[in-house]
Amino acid sequence: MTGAEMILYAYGAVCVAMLIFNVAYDFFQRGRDERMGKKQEEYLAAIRAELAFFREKGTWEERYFRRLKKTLSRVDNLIAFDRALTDAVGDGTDEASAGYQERLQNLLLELAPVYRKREKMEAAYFAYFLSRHKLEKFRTDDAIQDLMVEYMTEDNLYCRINAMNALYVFGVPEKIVQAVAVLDRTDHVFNEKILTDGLLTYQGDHERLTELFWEKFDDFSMKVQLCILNYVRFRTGTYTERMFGIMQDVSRYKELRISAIRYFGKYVYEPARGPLLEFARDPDPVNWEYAAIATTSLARYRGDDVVSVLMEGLHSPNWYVRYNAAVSLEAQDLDYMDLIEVVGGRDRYAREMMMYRLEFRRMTQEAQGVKG
Amino acid sequence: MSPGVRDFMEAFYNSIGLFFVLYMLGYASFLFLSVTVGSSTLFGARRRSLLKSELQNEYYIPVSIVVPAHNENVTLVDTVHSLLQLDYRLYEIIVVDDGSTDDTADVLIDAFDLRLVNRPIQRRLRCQPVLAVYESRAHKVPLTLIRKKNGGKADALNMGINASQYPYFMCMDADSVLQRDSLEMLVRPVLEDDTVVAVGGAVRPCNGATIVDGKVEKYRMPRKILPCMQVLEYDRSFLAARILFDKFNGSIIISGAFGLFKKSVVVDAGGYDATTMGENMELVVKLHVFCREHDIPYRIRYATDAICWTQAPERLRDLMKQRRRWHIGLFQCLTRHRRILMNPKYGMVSFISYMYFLLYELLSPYIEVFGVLTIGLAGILDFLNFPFWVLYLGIYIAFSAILSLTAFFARIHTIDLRLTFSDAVKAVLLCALEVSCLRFVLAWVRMTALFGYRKKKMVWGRIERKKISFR
Repeated sequence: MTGAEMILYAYGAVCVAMLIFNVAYDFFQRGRDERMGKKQEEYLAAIRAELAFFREKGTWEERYFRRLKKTLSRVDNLIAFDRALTDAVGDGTDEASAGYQERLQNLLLELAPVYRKREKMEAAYFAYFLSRHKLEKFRTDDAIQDLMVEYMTEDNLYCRINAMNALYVFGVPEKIVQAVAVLDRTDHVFNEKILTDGLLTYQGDHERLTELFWEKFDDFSMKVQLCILNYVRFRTGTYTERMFGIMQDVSRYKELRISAIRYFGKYVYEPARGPLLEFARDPDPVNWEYAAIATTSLARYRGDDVVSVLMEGLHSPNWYVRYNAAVSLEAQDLDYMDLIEVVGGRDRYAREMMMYRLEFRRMTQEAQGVKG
Repeated sequence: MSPGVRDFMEAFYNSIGLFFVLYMLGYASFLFLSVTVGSSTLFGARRRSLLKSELQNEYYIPVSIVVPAHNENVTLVDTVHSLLQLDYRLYEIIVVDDGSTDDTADVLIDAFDLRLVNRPIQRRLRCQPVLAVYESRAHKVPLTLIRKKNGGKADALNMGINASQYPYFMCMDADSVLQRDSLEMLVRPVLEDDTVVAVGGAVRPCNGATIVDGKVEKYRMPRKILPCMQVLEYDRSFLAARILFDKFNGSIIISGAFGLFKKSVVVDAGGYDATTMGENMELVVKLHVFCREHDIPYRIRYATDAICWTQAPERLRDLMKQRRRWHIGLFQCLTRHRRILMNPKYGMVSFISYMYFLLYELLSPYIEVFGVLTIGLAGILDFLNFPFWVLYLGIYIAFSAILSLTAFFARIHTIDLRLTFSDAVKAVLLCALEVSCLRFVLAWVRMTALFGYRKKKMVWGRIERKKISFR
């Protein structure tokens, strides 16, 4: 037999083995849902029995929790238990359910080191489980939260995301800032949207979290700084002075300054009016992004100075500035048709843009009328 | 035959034998790696899903869906209906009617109550002029129809990009439908890694599938033999080869039926090339070149669980047309970007992806037909050991069939496809036929594809359309 033949036979043998594995796995998988359902029922019955025992005797069976710890070290069992627990105790408002969940917390502490050593996907699932069932929230001295912060160094993206989600639920701002700092120091890539949107789901004191972020702001990379600014913009309008400082600070990255400009589009701040008008008026093509975003932000500012700048913007050589100026002008309390005659009459592009905005507004109003 | 000629022929056949051993070994190794890596990746993905190692929250990246259409009055309304049912919040739909000669635009205007508007469109990419723009705000998301002068599919896509409002755009064919969760799945790689500039989705033949409200209600292998064999081909590609390319950022093809792109990078790279028939592949290769030339960190990903259903041709004539067009596109793309060949700057994209498409896709029909001719000549010259040849042919067919089946059975690891006994039997029976017959027919089609192709530039491929079973 030649070498080539041997390689072909070896390849064929591996493929046949894969085929057999796939067929066997398919059969196994078909029974899996059934087995999982059965396991879930068993856990559900056991939890209910334990709750009944507590209601009758006023105490918990240690043997039950010892056995539970042993079985929950297998991830399949943890999945079934998660589903059963949600069914059995719900929001845990009665004494027995609340007590059961409290008793469970010690178990979670014992399981944490077990799952820390497991493959990353199982560790990530444990973090997911914690985000759903961990009770001891708002505590800074918590070993599990330190573990979640440690997860930020893991290569597995979902290990990090699930751990971060757990931390959002736990609601300790110091731990969140610590976790973000650890994440920032690693080389792991992450999408800004994941961090910004995640922070918005945080269930603790947002004001305290924002303060802590401001304290460490300059220690973070530009990417994290941008996430923080976006988070603050979506969350609150109380940081106008800080944002104003960033907008005006020419040494800051463009992305950060633009985020600050957007902030003043969402929250009207009179001292920002002047700088926004200046950005919008800037004819330098290099600064077109500042001009385009400032033009959008001016939509909520009233006054002749704003209208005048927006009308100038309609004749800008930059398409985005023209488009945004038309949208912002539409938001002003003016007779739009008159404006079209005055401004657009001299400029075909400006006129087209404004006419389209008018049609757009009509269509949107009609659609809202139909839907409403 | 004189001894001199005989010696020459022996040396000739020894060289050919050696070449084919190396060539087939390379191909077998590639297929072997593809199916094993593909199967194990799908297995891992399924486990990840079970263990909640996926994005749980609702993250939405705004996406413009661009649907280029030319004489698609049969399927276009179903396609737009499927797009309106996507489980996604932040998107818009832009249909570009590229100078249809049938009532494609009218059908769409009536079905979705579109209204003529004077919308200015920024021309960042070159394309044929707009004839009219229609819009509707009465649906779940903004719907736009742009009627333009005929310029080909790439030209229509460029127009769609120009009109798009969002930072990412998704292209899809007008004869395809998406599963409800497909856009969400397609966007995930971008959320996982913001250096991702393009994501390809999995395309499956919808012949045999019943899709209700964007969900597959029933799936069986198609009844007809030809689409059935294409299912095996698609599985080899989408459940195997593309997963392998994805492992080393070496994907150089994203199906025109279903792909997501970062608009700013595509615009900077020059958009779709309207002078090629393989505009999708050309764009992806161009993105590799552009990002590497400009030292932009980038990834081009493949999302196995983002599913688009498309019509596989049911007539051999249509299939031949389609493959001829694909082969011309491949030729244009590889010749246009020939500087990638053996260029260390392009790393694995050069040494694996480009080489694979050059040797085993572009040149393979010539090599295969050459192989068949030399076997015929060997038979005439009495050089052929007939029993040995039959044995080798048998090994080739068996090996290829096993690989096809391994890719086919990998579907058990996908979230939505279940394997039935009758489908498995069909696959087993047809895989040998596909390898031994269809492959050679298509090799001939591809070999002759380049004859006179220049005359057919910028022409939309036409195959017979049927209404998709979508409710």
